[in-house]
Amino acid sequence: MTQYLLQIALAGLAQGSLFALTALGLVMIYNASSVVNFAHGAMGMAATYVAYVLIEEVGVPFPLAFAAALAAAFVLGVVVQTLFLARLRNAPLMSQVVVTLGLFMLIQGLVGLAFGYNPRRMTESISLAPVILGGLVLRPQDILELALLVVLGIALAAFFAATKIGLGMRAITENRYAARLMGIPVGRLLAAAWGAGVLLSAVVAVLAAPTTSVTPNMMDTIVVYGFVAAILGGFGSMWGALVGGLLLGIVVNMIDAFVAPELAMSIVFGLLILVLYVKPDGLLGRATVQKV
Amino acid sequence: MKTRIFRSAARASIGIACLSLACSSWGQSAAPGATIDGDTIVLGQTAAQSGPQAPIGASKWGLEAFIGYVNAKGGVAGKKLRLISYDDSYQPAQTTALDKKLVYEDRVFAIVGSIGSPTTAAVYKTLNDAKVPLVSMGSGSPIFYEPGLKYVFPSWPIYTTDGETMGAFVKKHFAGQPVAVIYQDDGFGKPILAGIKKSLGKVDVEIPYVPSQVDFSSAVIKLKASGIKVVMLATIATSGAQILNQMASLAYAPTRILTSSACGYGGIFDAIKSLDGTYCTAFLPPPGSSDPKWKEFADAMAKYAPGHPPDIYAAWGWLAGQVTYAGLEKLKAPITRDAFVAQLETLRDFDTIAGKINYSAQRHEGSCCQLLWQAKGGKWDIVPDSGFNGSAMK
Repeated sequence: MTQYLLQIALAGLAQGSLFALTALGLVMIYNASSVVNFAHGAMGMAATYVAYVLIEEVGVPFPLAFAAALAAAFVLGVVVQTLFLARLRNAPLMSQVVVTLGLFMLIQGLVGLAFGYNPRRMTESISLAPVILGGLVLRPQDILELALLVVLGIALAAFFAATKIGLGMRAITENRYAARLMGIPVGRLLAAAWGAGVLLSAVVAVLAAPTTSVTPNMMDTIVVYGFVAAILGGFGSMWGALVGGLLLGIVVNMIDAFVAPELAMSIVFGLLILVLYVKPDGLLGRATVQKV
Repeated sequence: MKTRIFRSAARASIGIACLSLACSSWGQSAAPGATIDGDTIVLGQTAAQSGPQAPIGASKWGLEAFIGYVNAKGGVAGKKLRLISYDDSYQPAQTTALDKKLVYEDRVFAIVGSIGSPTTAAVYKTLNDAKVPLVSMGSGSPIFYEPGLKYVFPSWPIYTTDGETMGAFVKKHFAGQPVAVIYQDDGFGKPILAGIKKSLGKVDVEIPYVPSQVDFSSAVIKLKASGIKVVMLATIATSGAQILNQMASLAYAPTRILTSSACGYGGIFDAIKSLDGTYCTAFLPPPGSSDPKWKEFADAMAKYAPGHPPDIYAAWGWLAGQVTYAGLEKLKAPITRDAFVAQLETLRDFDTIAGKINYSAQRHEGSCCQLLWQAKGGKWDIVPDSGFNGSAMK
């Protein structure tokens, strides 16, 4: 039983790391631009198809194809922010959100038209056999996902704390107009934030592809859990996204294993409502204080 | 002021109620198109062309290929056939609206080859009440085989037969081994589970899932920890691929049996690297088969639906075309829906790509029988001695 529980928890941490990375990307974009990007998963998915085509049809090695997918994702994020969201900067926030919803449907539809909806297999990032340790199966893929989460989490924390660009993005979050007055290139930093956020979505999608198969809908469920993780942790808090994602991964796997897989999403949303009732700003979010 | 607000609210409520009643009662007004009065018989279809269920919407192309094939030979009953197919994205609400459009605006003669259990379940009674034939829907849900549905003609084996085929095979070849079933928790997966239990008596582990689930690690870990040796999957294509790939990644290799919804698509041997040895229940010849019925279908696909692979989903559409043709070919003008229905009810052991179809006035059985394929060396072979006859019209 202990081994079984450990196996479920390990699978949960691996899955949770994907939720956490998704949430990190959402939070990064939200913090910079105050826009919730509903096309987040679709954009990561589109970048995964770049990797898929390069690996399976051109024969490019995985690391190069992965890098190309991340570059494509970054460019896509920059283009979306520069071409669409920048033009709507004075429009109501809801209009900007609806644009991201429209992009979600457009991207999925275009990819579906181009590639169809049959599942396609993506080569695993690490082609090693699982390691059996005292009955526990350790998949190299799971370890990579967890390791990437730790590395990217630390890197992002350092980026926002210690680099000029990171500090600039934080300044935009605090007060966009003041940041502009201070000479911070708001437009360029917003584009960079979107690029980086979508890049994180592509990391998740490419890592998840061997599990989900490559389909236009591959990120639909992951991005929903990513949203939940971000809210659970406190929407706006990077550490909250990380903790929320990992916790959520374990909870979802425990529900799958011990309760009922078909109820996982319902129970998760029920728990979210409960957490928010007790702590409205999420687990690690800070209460918003407004001076009157 | 309060009275005005109350009156406005009351009027709005009455309006909404009337609208709802009008929308829900579309099957009770006379459906146009009951008699063919031109030189074309227009058929209607709804099938997912987008969304996670889009692969199964390839049935549209099989049906188009059949219609092209028939029209090239001069049509049927002196008329040409034409198909109007809409994308319902596998959403029952959309199927309802689109079927209404097909019947009342497009004035189709019959709804043919529509795909999906929940989608067809949303419309079958309404179509039956409106006396619009619903032929060869892509579902084996038991609700479509109930007596009294005069205008509903399923052509697949009932889903419980799917399950009984799996169960009978396991009982014969893997008796005594612990077995599990992973099933979609709806009108598709539950009857298959019921059929398995009817054949086997008991299942050691049952794991339901919903199509939105993407990670099956917990399920696979549970099965492995339970010592399960045989796993039967009543799943759609994407979920089946996910489960089998996760089994491989967790170093778990039980005997696996899929349903045809999860194994008949093009590219499956690329999508699932550990497919060899896996079994699949089927009521059609395997893709690439040398069976003359499959070759006829594949040749027609190449000619009349180029660019679309002759896979099992397209074959469902071809089957729908064959059954529809059988109901039309002996009719003389005026061709009416009632005459079409009466002709269908005379079909006994009518040979199709799915084997023999049987209909009578008392029972619209469809295809009775199934067998198993097994994946070997990148293709499917029929497993000898795996046939199962679920006919109630013996």
